[in-house]
Amino acid sequence: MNLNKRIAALLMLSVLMIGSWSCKKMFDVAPEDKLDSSNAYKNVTDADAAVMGIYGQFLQLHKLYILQNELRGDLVDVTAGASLELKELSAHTATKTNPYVDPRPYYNVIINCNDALKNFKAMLDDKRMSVDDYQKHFSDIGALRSWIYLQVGIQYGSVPYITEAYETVDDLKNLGNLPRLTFDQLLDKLIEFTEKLPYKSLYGYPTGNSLLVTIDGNSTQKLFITKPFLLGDLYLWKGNYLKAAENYALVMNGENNNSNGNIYFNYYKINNFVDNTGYTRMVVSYGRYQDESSLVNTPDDGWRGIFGLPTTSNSWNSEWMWAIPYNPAYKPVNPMINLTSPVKGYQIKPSQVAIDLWEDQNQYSGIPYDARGKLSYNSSFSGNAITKLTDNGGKWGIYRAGLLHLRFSEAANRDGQTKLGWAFLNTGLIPTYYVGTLVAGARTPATEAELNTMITPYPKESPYYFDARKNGTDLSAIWYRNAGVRGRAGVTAIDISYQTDMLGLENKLLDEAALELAFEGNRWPDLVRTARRQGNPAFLADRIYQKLLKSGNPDAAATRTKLMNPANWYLPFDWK
Amino acid sequence: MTKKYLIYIALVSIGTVLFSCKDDWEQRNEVQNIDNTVNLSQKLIAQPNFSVFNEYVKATGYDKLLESSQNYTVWAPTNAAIAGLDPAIIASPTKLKDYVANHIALATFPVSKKNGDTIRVKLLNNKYATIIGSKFEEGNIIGEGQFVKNGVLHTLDHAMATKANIWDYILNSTDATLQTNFISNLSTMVIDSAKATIIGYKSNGEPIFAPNPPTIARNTYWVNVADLRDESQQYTYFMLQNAAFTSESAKLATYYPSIDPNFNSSFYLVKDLTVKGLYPVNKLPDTLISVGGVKVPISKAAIVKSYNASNGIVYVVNALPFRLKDKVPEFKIEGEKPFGFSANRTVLYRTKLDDLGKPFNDIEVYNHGVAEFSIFYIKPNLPFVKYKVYAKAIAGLPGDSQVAAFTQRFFVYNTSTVAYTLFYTHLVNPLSYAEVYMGEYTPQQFGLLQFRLTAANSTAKDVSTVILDYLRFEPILP
Repeated sequence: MNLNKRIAALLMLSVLMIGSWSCKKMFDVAPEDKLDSSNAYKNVTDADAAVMGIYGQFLQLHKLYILQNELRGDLVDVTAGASLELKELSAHTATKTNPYVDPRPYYNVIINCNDALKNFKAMLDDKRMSVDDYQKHFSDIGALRSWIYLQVGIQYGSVPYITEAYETVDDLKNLGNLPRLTFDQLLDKLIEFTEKLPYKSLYGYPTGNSLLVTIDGNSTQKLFITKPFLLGDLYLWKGNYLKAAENYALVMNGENNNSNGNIYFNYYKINNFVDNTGYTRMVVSYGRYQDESSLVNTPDDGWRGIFGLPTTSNSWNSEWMWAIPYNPAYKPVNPMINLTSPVKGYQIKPSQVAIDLWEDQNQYSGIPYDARGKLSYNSSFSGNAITKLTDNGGKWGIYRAGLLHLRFSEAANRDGQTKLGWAFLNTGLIPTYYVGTLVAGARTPATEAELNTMITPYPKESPYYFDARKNGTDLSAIWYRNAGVRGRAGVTAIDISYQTDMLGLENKLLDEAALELAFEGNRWPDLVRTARRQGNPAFLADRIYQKLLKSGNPDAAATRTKLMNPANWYLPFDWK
Repeated sequence: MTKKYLIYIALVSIGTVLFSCKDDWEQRNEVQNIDNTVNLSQKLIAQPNFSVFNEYVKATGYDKLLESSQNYTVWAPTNAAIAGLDPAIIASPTKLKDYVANHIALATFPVSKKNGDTIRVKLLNNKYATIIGSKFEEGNIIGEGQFVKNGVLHTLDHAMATKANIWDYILNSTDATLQTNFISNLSTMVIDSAKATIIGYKSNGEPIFAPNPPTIARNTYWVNVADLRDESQQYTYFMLQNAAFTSESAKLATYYPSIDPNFNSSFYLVKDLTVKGLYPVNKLPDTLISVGGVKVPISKAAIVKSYNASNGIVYVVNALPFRLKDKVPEFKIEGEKPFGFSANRTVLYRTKLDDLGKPFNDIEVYNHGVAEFSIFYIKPNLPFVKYKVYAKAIAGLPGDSQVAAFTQRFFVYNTSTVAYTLFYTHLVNPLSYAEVYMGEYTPQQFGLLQFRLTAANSTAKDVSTVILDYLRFEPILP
């Protein structure tokens, strides 16, 4: 290289550098049309905007949440055309360079939560916001942060727990060096923080709050996290089953005091009623009983309506506590459409394990499979497309009654109430508990004592107390419609011997979670939680092994061996 | 300086790694030494070894085509190979044109470098040639082929006269006159759409013809069995010598006594003489399945002669002893495939598991409120033979409201009395999984079987139910 060339190169470099850095001061004036952090929080409207902004950002975690929780589990598999990164994630060979392993998207939202929480506190101190508003806004964002941390803990094991606000990106860079909590320590911290939140009602904001509106055909009521549900989850992970059941029961009974009978009988109670007033139509139903071709298979009705109905529908609201809808007319577009549609990107599909599980069930109508499979994915010549996540534009559905009842059953079962868990899993309360007179097969209590067998045998204060009495038209207690998760789907109950078999029922609850909740983003946490609790890595490893085996992955056995070590359940936490 | 060389060495070795592995497809299509200065026509002229073939190309006008800008492949026989060509072909301009076209294909086909790589190529005379590696039908392609600006010229060591397709071969053959006469006379009259006057169009786009349109005879073998003229398909076809044809037809005569040649015993013989696919003699199994789904028993010893047609292979055989039970088969009428109903009611097409956990489909009409509600079933072209008839109907399975025993009746249509007559009264007990033997049935004649499943003469729920999995007809053969 001669001298001239060298000089030319240096000149080029310096020109570039000037372009990059020298103009900083010129543009560093306060923008006129953007809010600076110093004056972003002036009144409660600003606080509302902060909440909506955080939920908007939170929605971006949807794709990561589904992929980490389902693709690593046994119910979702990659397609032949899937990207290498997704194939690695599915086969548990993802390394820290894989974009689906990066923890930063979670922390980006956490940092924003921290910032909002700090500012809410400042607004309260300066009396820019009332105590009441402060309690609701602070509790909502606080609980959301706990939920995200629970996710981070499930995925990465040991993670840093940051609760202070960072204002600049530079602070964030050091985050990777902060001390980390073990998953167990993290759970303690999360329970402590969430329990201390000042407002822990079922809904984030009560009726009449300025955050509750209907916009573009969607209601915002179920946009916000359900705090008792989160607490139930935290206690369930921690192993405090009574506290978990108490919190779940709060949600199950959350609408008991509503003045509208259609609401207090139906909301969050899982029944197989089909009423024509539009309050509940979530049952797997057929136009002609026994005839599989008459299955009600539309995103606007029946069991599939759980995913397709609009958030303004009463029926939809009887199932969901927390879900964030997409609007096909606006951005952001539901990322699941590209992942699941054979005419789009088509990266993921139902695994053979999931399909086989549905095939293995029988319905009361004699149809020899579980129709929830057909209602969860669509089979065509171009491939099996998961429809559950994209029906009518799709939503990010997080908490719903099906999940709630299975989680409650899991907690109750571990707390020694196996029969109650069996009831909610299978046929519902009355068929499980009623002992008494039958007239032509119909339960017809002859005495008050017989009638009272329809109440679960616990004291009124117990979370396990459910009044399901029903006596002709004279008496309809609040839980009488409960039909069980399997009952609603029309599939036959599992054997009653499981009413006294805690471990057996726990495994059956996991199978049911696959049938009812497949693809919704609960699978991997369910597997980890159960395997952790049972101290049985094979519980998890065998299921992943089956998925890989059935899809013809030659490394299935090696992956099983790897997953027999619980340390390998967690993704590498690497801060780049 | 040494560093510089090291870099070069590194680059070269990376290059080697990146480019040295070619995939199969690349190997197959790899083209070298293209001469972009000449076209195929010029290339042919330039080579004295192809002078005879080139003469024919010029005589038929294909030299103009080979100058055009589209890409062609020419498999040119050498002068030595073409010497033995039938003078009749050279004498007839039509045959010669067809002969030349039999060596040219649109698009470029290099010789595959992978052994056993098979492609079927459509030639300009609409015949298909099978190329396996460097083997072109019976001939061999010599060398790599010479690539020019509009295609490739291959050297062929075989004259390759045009082959007849199976249909043309049959018509011109005298090896099986009875069979050939029978098939060539199978015909039906259809509207001659080329000559008919179109007076309008239906909503689905089909034309409406003027009344009494002109008709034209069409061979029914093309439609009812297989179109042996179709060059794009491959068939294996059997010709029975006269004695075998007569004896095999006679075996079926009593079962198919129709006088209509489209339904008589000879038709039921010839409909199973065509097999889909090409089975050369060294790959013939002992049994093939005909296009009609009947087992064809093959004995290599019975093969008298064979001909490689352009769309398959023809075997002339002196015996092809079909089994009677394959020609007059047992059959089922499925309950869930009814022909019609006596009244419009909710019909359940069910999927159930039987006592062995095996899924099956059936039909149920429950609580319909119609006395003597009926479901009709038909089976066309029923062979004339006595049958043992069985029925299967299972009530009381999970989900079924019919848990009590009930009675349903089967009627069969009598063509002599022109009425349905009671065939069997079926008491259906719940969860009874066995077939029920209903008795023997002899049709009055060859033709349409009409069966009726009729509910009790009652409108009551649980009494008027009808359920049917299937009816099974087992012919009583000698």
